Amino acid sequence: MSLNRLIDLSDRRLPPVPPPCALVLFGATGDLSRRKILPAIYDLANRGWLPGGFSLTGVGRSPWSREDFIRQTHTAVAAGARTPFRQRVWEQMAAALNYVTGDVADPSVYVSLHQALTRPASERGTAQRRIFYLALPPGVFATVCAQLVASGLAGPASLDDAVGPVTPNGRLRPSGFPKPAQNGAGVGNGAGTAASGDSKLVDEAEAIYGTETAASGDSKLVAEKPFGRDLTSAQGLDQALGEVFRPGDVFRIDHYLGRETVHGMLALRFANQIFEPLWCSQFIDHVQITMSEDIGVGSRANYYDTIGATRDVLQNHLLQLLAFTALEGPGQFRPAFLRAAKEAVLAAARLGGSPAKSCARGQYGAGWQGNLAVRGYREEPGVATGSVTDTYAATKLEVAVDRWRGTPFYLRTGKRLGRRVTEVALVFKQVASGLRSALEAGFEAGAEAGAGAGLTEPADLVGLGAADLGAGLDMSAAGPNALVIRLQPDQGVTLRIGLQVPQTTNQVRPVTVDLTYGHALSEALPDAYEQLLLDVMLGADPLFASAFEAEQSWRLIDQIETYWAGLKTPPEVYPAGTWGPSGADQLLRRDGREWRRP
Amino acid sequence: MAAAMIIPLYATSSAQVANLLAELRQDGGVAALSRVLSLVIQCDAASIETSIQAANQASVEHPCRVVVLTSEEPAAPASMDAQIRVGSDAGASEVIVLRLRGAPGGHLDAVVTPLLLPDAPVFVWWPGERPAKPANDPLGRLASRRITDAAAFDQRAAAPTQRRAQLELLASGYTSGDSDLGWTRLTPWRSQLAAAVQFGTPGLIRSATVTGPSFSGCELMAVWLAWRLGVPVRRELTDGDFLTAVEFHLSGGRRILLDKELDEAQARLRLTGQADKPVALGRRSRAEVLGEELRHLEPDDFYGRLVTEGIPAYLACGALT
Repeated sequence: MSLNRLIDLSDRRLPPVPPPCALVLFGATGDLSRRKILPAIYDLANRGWLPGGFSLTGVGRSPWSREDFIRQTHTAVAAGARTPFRQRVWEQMAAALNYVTGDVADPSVYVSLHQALTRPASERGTAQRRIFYLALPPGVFATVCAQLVASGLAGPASLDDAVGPVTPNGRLRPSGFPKPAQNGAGVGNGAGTAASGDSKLVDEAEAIYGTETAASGDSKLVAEKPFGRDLTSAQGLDQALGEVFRPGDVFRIDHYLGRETVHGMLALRFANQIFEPLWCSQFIDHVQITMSEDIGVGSRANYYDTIGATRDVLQNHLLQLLAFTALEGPGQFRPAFLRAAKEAVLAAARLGGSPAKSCARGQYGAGWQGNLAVRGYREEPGVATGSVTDTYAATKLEVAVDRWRGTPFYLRTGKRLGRRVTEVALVFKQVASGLRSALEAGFEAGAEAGAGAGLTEPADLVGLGAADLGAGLDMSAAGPNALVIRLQPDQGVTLRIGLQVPQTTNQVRPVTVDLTYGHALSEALPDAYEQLLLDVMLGADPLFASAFEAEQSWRLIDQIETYWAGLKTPPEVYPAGTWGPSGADQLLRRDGREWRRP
Repeated sequence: MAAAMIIPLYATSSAQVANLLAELRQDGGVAALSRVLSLVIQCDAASIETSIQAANQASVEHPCRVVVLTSEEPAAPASMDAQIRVGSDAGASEVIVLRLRGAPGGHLDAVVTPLLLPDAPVFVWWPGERPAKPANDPLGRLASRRITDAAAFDQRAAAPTQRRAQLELLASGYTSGDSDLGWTRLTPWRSQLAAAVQFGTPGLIRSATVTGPSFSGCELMAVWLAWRLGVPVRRELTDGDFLTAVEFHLSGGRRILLDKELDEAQARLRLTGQADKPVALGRRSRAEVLGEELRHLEPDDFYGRLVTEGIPAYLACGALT
């Protein structure tokens, strides 16, 4: 791909180093920046994965000086970084920091931002390659975009900006090093052209090393989930962003769903002959997708109280996990193909019955989180009196494709649940095996006669002697097989299989086999935030939700939210530290099933 | 496996060691072992502990069974002492140390065979002296990947002919599946250089200078640049133990310079017409480079081409004469 001869596709060792860029972090004083983004940037610097010309400009409402911001960032890095603290690395990162105070709706903020960006552009060679990271509530995304255009900091997007082969969902890019952007992409970016003097030389160099030079421009936007609060607002947001950024330059990120996690899920299924044939309704009874948190709403109360668990997690994270679980083989392991496969799943997804029968919500009350007494949601500071915000949501979905006909997907998420876990559990059908004891099988067949269960005919019992009744395997305690893909906290796979209990003649019991690969918590591996920041800087095609996926997800969520909004009753209260409201248990019991205890 | 445990076995056999491993697993109640490979280390007695330490750290990323072999006094009566280490002493791996005396030292492949994980790929690592052709070595024949370390070459060999001979050995000893930690150590440098050329400053690269000690590992940087860029590469010899700078001389008098003048953890990237940029570029520990090797089960064909095409071309251009 590349004309840079130091880069060779067969040279698998070289990790890609992103091009110089200027990161603008809106919401730099917020919780997310402090806990995740700033430490991740330090870790990237520490690993040598940040480009030489990198700058970070924070934008926040706190009236801080640059020194204040550096001090706050230091605290955040010291508390949250996964790699060891190195003074020199920190000093270099601090030198790249800048801070602009103000409200994102205030045009003067963008004037200051323009000035702040001009310095890094000329001194650090970051040129026009800008990344705008919106660590903000979705309500202000459109405002920021409009201001970015008005101030000349970004866009407007034009059709001829497109680089490389274009798909309806954004452009394809080769893996590894990014395809060099065209000169002049991101028209209207205003100031700062570096290294342009000797045009003949530049042409000559481009012929050999590609067109990427310090002068080329390229702006990207990173938006945190949730993207909008319903279908209409999501579409409005898409339109607002689309006027400024090209589709492939908008990253709707879900930091729970890093590249590592996604690749792990796909590898298990598609790199193993033994699983893929079973991945369908013929063998799988149902699927449970869980993301549970043990923490409460914490410092996010003001924001969370207007959003709730359904919009905060179910709409994006759980539905993305559903899409990755249920998708058809994408043919090629490339972002555009994967996205098309995910889109097909979400377009085919529908509620498993009327909203009343297919969803449940709850709100945590006071209780015990392990050995700690914790207060209820309505007692949390920042939560409105009498709030009906859901801190727990569960739903039953169907995916109307041949592969999944008859296999429901149960999704649940909540705060203050028993423990922190994110997992996808595929629960298999009970075996109908000739090895079951004749007695057991006979009785079952009798009981299910007429239901077409296809088991041994009752007539088979005729002529059975006492010896026959003791033969076979007693599978009454075995339970169905289950394959659990655990994504958090330690990535791994659990397989529940039935094995004969040693020293007994015919007892079968479930044995849980737990497989993990390495220590996911080790500093050796970059975390989801590092990986996604790296992807954004490299311009790697995002694995995150496309606008179409977001809209399909809202289509489902709107039905649920509309139903709940019309209810007179508040969400059912569940004690903190338990596994959610009884309504969620009823949701499965109606189908003769139970939630797993994660 | 919670508590750390080192179990010594004297005058033992491979089969006894294997049996004890199975017993330990039973007693520990471990239902599943997620091991991805067997790592066989052949080294001298003095470097057992440092090698195990590196392997343990690397095993956090790649859970493996580590078998360390050392043989002494080939003429002595045959005997084998062993140690099994499990628990926190052994990272995410179990470690078996075998110290052989006498004739069995000539049959390490047979000694280790009962102790390899079924099916899992076998890596052999020679932290010290390497076989001339690793793939022909008895242990090397068992393995799909063979890791040598150019740092084990005589580092005091300053004479060009000696350094030439070391590079020639890397080339002539190569078989698909081989790799060398001397090359692995260069990865962060290579990554930064490739990025600097990609995004740095326009201009044609006319020549390059590689500054550092005369070690073969550093020589591989010059080989890589000469081979990939097709330009003259000059060596600037210094004391010290690793590369200190790589410079590209571009058309129009421009330059790209990556040098280690800052400190241990960082280098400075200097581009004509731009302010200096610091980049993180620390020395990599042995565990880190070993970890990078264990990441790739399949042969590194690019390294193969580097040594079989790049080295002869580099030497043919008059380097090290």
